[in-house]
Amino acid sequence: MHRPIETIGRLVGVGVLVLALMLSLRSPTADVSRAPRALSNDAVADSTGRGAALELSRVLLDRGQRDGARGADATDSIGQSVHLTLQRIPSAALRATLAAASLAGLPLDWTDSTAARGLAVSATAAADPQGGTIARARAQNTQPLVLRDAASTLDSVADASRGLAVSGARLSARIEARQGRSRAAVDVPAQALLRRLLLFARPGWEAKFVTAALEERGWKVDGRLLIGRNAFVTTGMPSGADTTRYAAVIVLDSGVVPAEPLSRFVRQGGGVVLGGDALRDAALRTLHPASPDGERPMVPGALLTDAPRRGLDAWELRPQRNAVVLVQESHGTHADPTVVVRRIASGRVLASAYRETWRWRMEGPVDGLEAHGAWWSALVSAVAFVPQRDTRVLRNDRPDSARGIPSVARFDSAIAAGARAAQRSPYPGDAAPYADLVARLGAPVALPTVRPTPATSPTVWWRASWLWFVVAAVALVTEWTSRRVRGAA
Amino acid sequence: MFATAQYESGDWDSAPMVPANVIDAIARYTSIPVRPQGVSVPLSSEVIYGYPLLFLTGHLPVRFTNKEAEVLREYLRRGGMLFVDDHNHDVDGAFNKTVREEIRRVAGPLVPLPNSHELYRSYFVFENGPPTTSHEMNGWGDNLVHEQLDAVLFASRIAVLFSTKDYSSEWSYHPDNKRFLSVDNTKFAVNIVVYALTR
Amino acid sequence: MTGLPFGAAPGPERVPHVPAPHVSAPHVSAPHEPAPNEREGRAAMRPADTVALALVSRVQQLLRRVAYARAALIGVAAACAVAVALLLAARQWPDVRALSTPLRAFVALVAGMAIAAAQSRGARHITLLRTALFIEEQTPAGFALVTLVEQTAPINGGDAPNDATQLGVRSRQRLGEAFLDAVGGSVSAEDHAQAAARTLSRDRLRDPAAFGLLAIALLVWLIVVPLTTARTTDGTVPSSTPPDDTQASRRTAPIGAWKVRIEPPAYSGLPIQELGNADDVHALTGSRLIVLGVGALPSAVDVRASIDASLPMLPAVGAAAGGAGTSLTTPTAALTATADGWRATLTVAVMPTELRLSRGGATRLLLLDGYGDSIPRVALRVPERDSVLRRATGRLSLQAAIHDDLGLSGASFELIVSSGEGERFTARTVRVAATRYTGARDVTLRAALDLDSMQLGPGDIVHVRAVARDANPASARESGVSETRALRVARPAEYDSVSVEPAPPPEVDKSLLSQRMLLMLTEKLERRRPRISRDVLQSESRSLARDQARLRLAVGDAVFQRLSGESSAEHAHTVGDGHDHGVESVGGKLAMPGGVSATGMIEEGDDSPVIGINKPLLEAYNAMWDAGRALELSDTRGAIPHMRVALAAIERARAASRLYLRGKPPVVILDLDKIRLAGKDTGSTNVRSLRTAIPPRARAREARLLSAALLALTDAGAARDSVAVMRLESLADAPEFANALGEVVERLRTGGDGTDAFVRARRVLGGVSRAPDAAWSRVGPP
Repeated sequence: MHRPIETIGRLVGVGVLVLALMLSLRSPTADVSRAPRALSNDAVADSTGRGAALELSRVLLDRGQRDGARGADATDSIGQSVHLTLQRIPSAALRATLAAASLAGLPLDWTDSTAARGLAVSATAAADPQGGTIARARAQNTQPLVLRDAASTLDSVADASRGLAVSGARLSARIEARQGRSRAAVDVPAQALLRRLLLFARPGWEAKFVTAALEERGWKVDGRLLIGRNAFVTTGMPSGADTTRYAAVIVLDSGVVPAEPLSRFVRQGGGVVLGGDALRDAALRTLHPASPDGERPMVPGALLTDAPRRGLDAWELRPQRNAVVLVQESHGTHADPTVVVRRIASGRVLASAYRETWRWRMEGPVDGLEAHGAWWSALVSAVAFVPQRDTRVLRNDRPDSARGIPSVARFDSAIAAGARAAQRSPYPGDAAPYADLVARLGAPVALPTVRPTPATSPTVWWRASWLWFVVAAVALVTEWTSRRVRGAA
Repeated sequence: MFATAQYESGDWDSAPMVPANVIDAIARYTSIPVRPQGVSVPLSSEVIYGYPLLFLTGHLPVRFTNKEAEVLREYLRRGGMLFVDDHNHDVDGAFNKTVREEIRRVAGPLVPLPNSHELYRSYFVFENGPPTTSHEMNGWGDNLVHEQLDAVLFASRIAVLFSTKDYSSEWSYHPDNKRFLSVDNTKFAVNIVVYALTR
Repeated sequence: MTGLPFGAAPGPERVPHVPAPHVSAPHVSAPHEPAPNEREGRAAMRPADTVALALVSRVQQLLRRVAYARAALIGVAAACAVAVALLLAARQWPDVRALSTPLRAFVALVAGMAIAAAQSRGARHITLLRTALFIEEQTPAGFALVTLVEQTAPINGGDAPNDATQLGVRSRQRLGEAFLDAVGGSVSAEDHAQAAARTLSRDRLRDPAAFGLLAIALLVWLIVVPLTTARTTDGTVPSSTPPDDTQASRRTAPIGAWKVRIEPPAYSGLPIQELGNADDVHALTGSRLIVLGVGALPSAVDVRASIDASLPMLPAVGAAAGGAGTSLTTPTAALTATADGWRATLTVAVMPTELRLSRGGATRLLLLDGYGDSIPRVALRVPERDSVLRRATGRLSLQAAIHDDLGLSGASFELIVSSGEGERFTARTVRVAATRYTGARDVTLRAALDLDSMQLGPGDIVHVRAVARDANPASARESGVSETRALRVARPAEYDSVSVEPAPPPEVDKSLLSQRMLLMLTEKLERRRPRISRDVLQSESRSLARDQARLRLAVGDAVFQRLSGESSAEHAHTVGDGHDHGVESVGGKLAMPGGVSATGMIEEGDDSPVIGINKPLLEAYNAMWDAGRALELSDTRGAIPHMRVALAAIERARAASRLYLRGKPPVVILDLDKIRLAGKDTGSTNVRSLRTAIPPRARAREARLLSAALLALTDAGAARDSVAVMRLESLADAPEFANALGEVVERLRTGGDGTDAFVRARRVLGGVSRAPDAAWSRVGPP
């Protein structure tokens, strides 16, 4: 009869052990006295704010009960004010709640025990007909920084102070920057509203293949090529350069477009791409981001290398003072700028030094066709006019399956639900939560000099569940050892 | 602007005056910049990628070598256009039969090009499709007047244009003699070039 | 406790040696020769103790048999139970399903044997002492029997008897007698013991037997009714539900396990494949795919092509890879009900295809990746290169190496013989060495071509290639062809140049053929001359004269080009123009100093090679001049002899020329400034059609991949299906991405964490890239 009793005893012992373990690992959020720890919950994980508001209520109730004399380990009443020592950035909703409480007359201040230092993330829609997002993150320290979306990690850098920018063809729903325990999150914006392009060029392979490349990448191109005496071949329905119709104007030859309308277009906010011989057009000199100094000879055979653009004829560019060099070719100790941009009023102008880029597509490496298209699309994207849009109205919240993306049987409903769930917009301040916190609660204050000593902690011994765990474990081990000892005897 | 394709088999240079005549027509009717003389490029060489419009003709059987087929396939993928003309003007001729097989191997089957295609309006307007040649009218070759051209289309763009109308004979004369013609018979060549240059 | 004999002993216990009884005791035998001390004891033993010990021994044997029987029964029952468990698990988990039936049987057998072996260990503990205790438990005798057994043999496991517990022979006899007295004699003792053992065996064997029978019954039921009770909605096996309810549940139950069979086309000679419950199939195009399932017919069947229509070269690719049934149209599936359930059949197409079968609100996919029957690869080994034959006689060796993936049906050499020149060409096709094969994969085709029988004439060109067909019976099936070699028969006029690389007609030939054509036209006009008016004659004759003049200038160009290296047709060559061409223009004709006869013919002489080449051309030029002049005067009859002279001279010029200017057409350089926009006609303004955007495949795939990654959190099965479909679609154009997706599928299939695989696939797709950190609000070009 010993054995069943022993077995039952052991089972009971193990059960007690497991129970004790669970108790010791139990989340302390339900504990009113530990509210400050709850306040520092993960900002992204708790975006609804419901729990946070509850926690604030509990803080206030607790404050009333304790009459300012007692406080939790990090919460204190100093006079009539509430002081919080925050170990993490509160969630957006809690920040709003705290700010609301502060505005309602509750004096709040806080001490910064977070590790966060100005982490910020932004996401903008790429000016690309195929969509895409540019996500940027930066922090004011030299710690590692990770950028991710809902699906996976996108990229990371070891030093956050230099920032991290990622261009994603398609990022899912929300982008999050992480650094240590800090989080910053933004929604992926809706696709940019893009207008048509207007091309000015002489008939030739360059005009043909630039138009083709842009059309293949989804741009709509208007153009008019003078073929013969008063005979044109038109593409689309070309009209005057205006931002109500065009996102950018592309000029590939000199003498094909008057300067005045182009200048007006740029001042409106439009983008202009000057390529090939257009850089030599004296009439457009006021727009030029860079002036051609001379010809940079092509490197024979380079079209088939990893740097195919070296195999193209190009101008040597001397950038203007306020211009930004986007692309340059390095030649040993020096680098020659080949793509230069500048802003004029609210518009943008880009100069590309390369001539006859169609050879890249036709004579370049196997991926020349795709690379040439991507290159021209990117040139245009760098300057294209993107009108502001009302995201509330134009937001495209259709699930993927409605966009013609094939899916399988159980795919559709789940994705629709997933898309809806993923499109819960984070609080605007989540893009830079630390800055948002400072903006709402004011700058952090130093740790108050008068602090309750740990000895006055309201924690009673029977609340220390880890003690139960130790007791149970010791009891069980003792019982087991005694059995072994008896057996040995 | 464009080049004549040299292939290993057959007589690729059976119409040596065609390039000069086409260049003459381009210069005569358009402001498109052209070089003053034609160029011949071997089909087996990647040099053809530098000439997005190629002209190929001949009388004899055509069998592309593997290299030629490979280069031509890539050429068409990248956006080049090949204009093939049967110098035999004979649908039962060796050139016609063999070159069709080779085109099918490289680019896919040829399909009739409707006479309403924009090729016939790209510069001059040819209401009835491809203009008839004197060789057709005189009953040479297969003794037929071919109403349509054939083509291989890539995404609605003509990649290969195939003619059995013998423009090679029709256009193979010295451009200086054009002044003796009441109607210039090379105007259709302008359409082909403009189409290739804009589409 | 009746179970004492079967109780587990704490340690090994040695079985006491039983002395041989004096009376006949057939059930007892000494296992080996007794030790010397035992012999001493046996000599002194009396019948009473011997009888008692024999009884103990017999009961011990009986009890041991019961123990072994029980172990065997438990073993069998356990094996059956394991087999049943495996069968049930196979319906739930694909991993188990993948195990073959013999392997599953082996696992069950091993498990049963292991359990039986473990159980049989208890029989070793049925010692004589325990047996004696058992007997005394049934018929109490004051432990006389136990004491007797205890004292008869050593019990401590040592080699020597335990002297301390050994009693004398007399005492043992008394113990035996006491036992027999207590149980009422030996017969009664025997009866009691046997009855107790039987009762015990009944009790011990009843439960294992019942367990075994139950397991066997369950196993038989599962085997005999294999799939008719497939998974219902909750995955359990319905047992006693009424028939109506079963039918209803089958109609609504999702499709469970199926069996896939691939029947390759007959010509391929490939065996039929049984793939079991497969999710994807890699099969030869044209194979017949059969899916067998149980339960009601699927409510929906759908076949979709998993291809990206934006692939531009797809038609050509499809045609090249084609085989039987290689049409690019999506195949249709035929769904039929069978006695056991249902059957879906379709023909495997050339493109990746998904077969979707739906029932009970869920869809199950079968992905078909059809691979084409490749056309034979043919390489022409002999002749190795193009060549020129001086005379078309003798035999020409031909050899080709041919390979096919499935098997060849025939091969031959194809010869296209083209004859003629100028505007007249004829061609005939000849096949030689046609050979039939029955499934050979690698062959070498040889032939010797009898050139005499081909009756080749000078100038004829033979294009040779090898052609091979495989056994694919499709009507539009392409043949495999080798590269083509050209063999040209030299013309007599060029015998001195046959060693050079063969070439298409050189530039002079163009003049030749045109001269021949002009001659023909002139002869035709001469024949028509009596029937046409003078005006018509003059008009046509002058037209011919202009063409003749053009040819003459072309020949003149050739002459000057050879002599001076100049190539311009527009270059004026006149006497005294400062150029030393070695020729002079005399009255419209060309002449070389001292080399021209009074008739205008150029005498052959010991001239330099250049002059040697050009003499015939000069002669042709002059003859053309004469012919042109005659034509201008409408004297067609007078022009014909000059034209014939010109033709012959051009023939001679070509024969004399060692320069085969392959591929160099006459150079015409146009004066563009002069002709620019000189045309009277002008073109019209036209609207160019728009070029369609290439669908951003990578972006669409990125979106689907992300959706699948999110879906995997809630429904791994659906996510796996989605990724598998995408993988199938990507195989053609993005194999690296397809590989990465394969890892995702595998990870999801095995229930593992697919995060890493998803990230890897996303990186392979290249949808995310680090943007340069420039002082510009947009991302610049890459």
